[in-house]
Formats: sequence, structure tokens, C-alpha cells
Amino acid sequence: MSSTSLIIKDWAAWTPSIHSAEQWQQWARGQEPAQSDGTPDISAIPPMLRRRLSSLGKMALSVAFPLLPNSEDKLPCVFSSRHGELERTVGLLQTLAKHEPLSPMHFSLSVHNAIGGVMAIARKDPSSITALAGDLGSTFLEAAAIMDEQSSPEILCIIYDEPVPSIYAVQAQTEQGPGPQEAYAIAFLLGGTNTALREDGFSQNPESGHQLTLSICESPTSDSPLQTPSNKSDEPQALTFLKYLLTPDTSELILPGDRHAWHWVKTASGINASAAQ
Amino acid sequence: MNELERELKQLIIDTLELEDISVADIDSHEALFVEGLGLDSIDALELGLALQKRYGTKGDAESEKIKEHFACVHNLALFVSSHQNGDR
Repeated sequence: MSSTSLIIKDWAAWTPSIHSAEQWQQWARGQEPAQSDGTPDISAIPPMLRRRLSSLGKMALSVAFPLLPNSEDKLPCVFSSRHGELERTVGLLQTLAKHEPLSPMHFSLSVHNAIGGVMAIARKDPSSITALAGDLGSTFLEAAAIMDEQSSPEILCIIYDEPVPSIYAVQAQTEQGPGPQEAYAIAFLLGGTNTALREDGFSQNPESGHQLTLSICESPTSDSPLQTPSNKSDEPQALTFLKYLLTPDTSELILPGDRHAWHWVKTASGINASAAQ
Repeated sequence: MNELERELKQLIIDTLELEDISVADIDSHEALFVEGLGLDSIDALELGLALQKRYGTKGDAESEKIKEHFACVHNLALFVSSHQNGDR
């Protein structure tokens, strides 16, 4: 079976209660991390652009910016969200229902790639941005394909969602399981294994990350030994994956999809994983 | 600063979510777009809609005159008051 190899070079994640890498390590070990609260840090974005971001956009870019190169270096990105700016869309639909004119700002920012657009303007980076609504496996597969097609040594994946607006709550429950109970955003900086040794400024020590292979497999049965370590059905796949990444003893992970499942295997695990001990 | 100009500045701040800016920060004769306050084309559309809702103004977005009307708060006040006078 064909598979794709990827290196997770870095990551950052945010929920309303968990922010720092240290807190996430505690969370992965099953400990109760010290709660923090606060708003996502988006001070890297100029105020005139910052005002364009919803709570969803602020959260997504707060995890993206720490992983982005500071300099003029270009970096393609994949933005992945199941529901995207649904709050804005609901607001627009309610305006339409009242036969009132739509806000041009909310309209332009309701599209799925709007958050990536704000980021590109803030960074003045014309690199490609893809916005999709897919599961974790298809997001990473897309990222791998873009790295290959553009001969890019790295790509940033940003995965984020908020609880669906209450007007859709019943629908979301009947069709695809509930949306996330809590807002979350997580970014993964990916590198391809065949480009890890390039010496064009992006060159990274291939040891400094988690190397994994991703392949498609049959959906697991309920008694499969490779069920995800945390099987809370409302846990976003990206967080289940992060837990797997931060748990050195777990070498394989299967994440279910609609028609098949995604099978992850750790092939090498470097500094990040050992630092987690 | 006349009352209408003050009102328009507050409308601009509220409509365009200029969180860190107060009425006193906006000069009536300073450019609103690109330079000066630094608003962009989406702001222009949003502001046009807000003016239409509040004052019933109608402007042709394609016309050269509208650029003049939207150049600064002072011009906007003239535009709004001429519309109000013409209406009533």
C-alpha cells in the first residue's frame, strides 16, 4: 500500500483553557494542566488587519504565527476547518432573512480562505494558501501534495474550529456527530522526508521532529487494537493526533474517516519527543 | 468640529471596528483611505452601506465624485448634508 512520509517539525495549539507547550505536555500525559485563560495572542498582526479577524481567525492565527519564519521567507499554508466562519455566515443569513443589505466586510470575510488571506496580507507573503474542510488525514495529504508539487521543503497546516452556532446544533448532531465542544486551533509545521537535507536556508536537522508515515487503510472495527488512545468522539482528530505525537510509547494511530481510515506510524522520533519525557 | 462631522467620526469608528481610535484622533480634513486613517476598499463599501442606512445617501460607486465625497470626514459631512437638504 502506498504511503506518504512526513516530518512534524513543530506545532502550537490553543484552546480557551490550554495554551503553552508545557500545558499540552501535561494534557497528553493525562494530567490536569493548570488552567489558563485569556485571549489568543495576535500582536504580530497590525491593528488595522487584526480588527478583521473573528474569534475563530484570531485563534487560528495565534497558533500559526509562532511557527512562521520571521524573515521574508515564504511558506505555503493549508487552512483546514470543518465549519469555518459559520458564525459570520449565520449572521449574514439572518440579515438576508430580514431583507436588509449585507455587510460587505462580513461577506468578504465569511469565505473559507479569508483567515489565510488576512495572514498573507499581514506577512506580505504571496505563497500559496489552500483552505479546505477535511479531516486530519486529508489535510496532511493535501499538504504533502503541495510540498511535492511546489518543491517546497516545508508547509504549515492550521486546523481550527468552534462549536457550531446553536441554530445548527441539532443538525450537526444527527449528521456527522457533534462539532467540537470547545474552540480549538492547532498548527503543524510539516517537512517532507526527501527534502529535509536541502541546504537552501530551510535545511533542518531531520532529527529535530517526529517522522511519520501516513497511509490509507480499512476502517477499523470496534475491537481493533489500534483504536485511538483517547476515544472521546467529540475530541477533534487534530487533538487526538497531538496526544499521539506527545506520547512516546504509542507508535501507531488510526483515525477513522468517512470511507476509510488514516493509519499513522511513527518511523523516527527526535528531539521534540525526547524533550517531552 | 461641527456636530455632523463628530457624528460621522463616531459612525466610522463603530462601523469599521476601529478599536484603538477615538473621535479626537480623526482629523476632519485628513485622508480616510490608504493614507491618513488607512482605510481600504472593504471599509469604503461598509461605510457606504452605513451612510445609506443612517442617512439614506446613495452614491454611485463607479463615479469619480464619490471618491471626492469619501476623501475625508469634512467632505463626507458636506455630502450627507447636501443629501439631507435635497431630500427635505
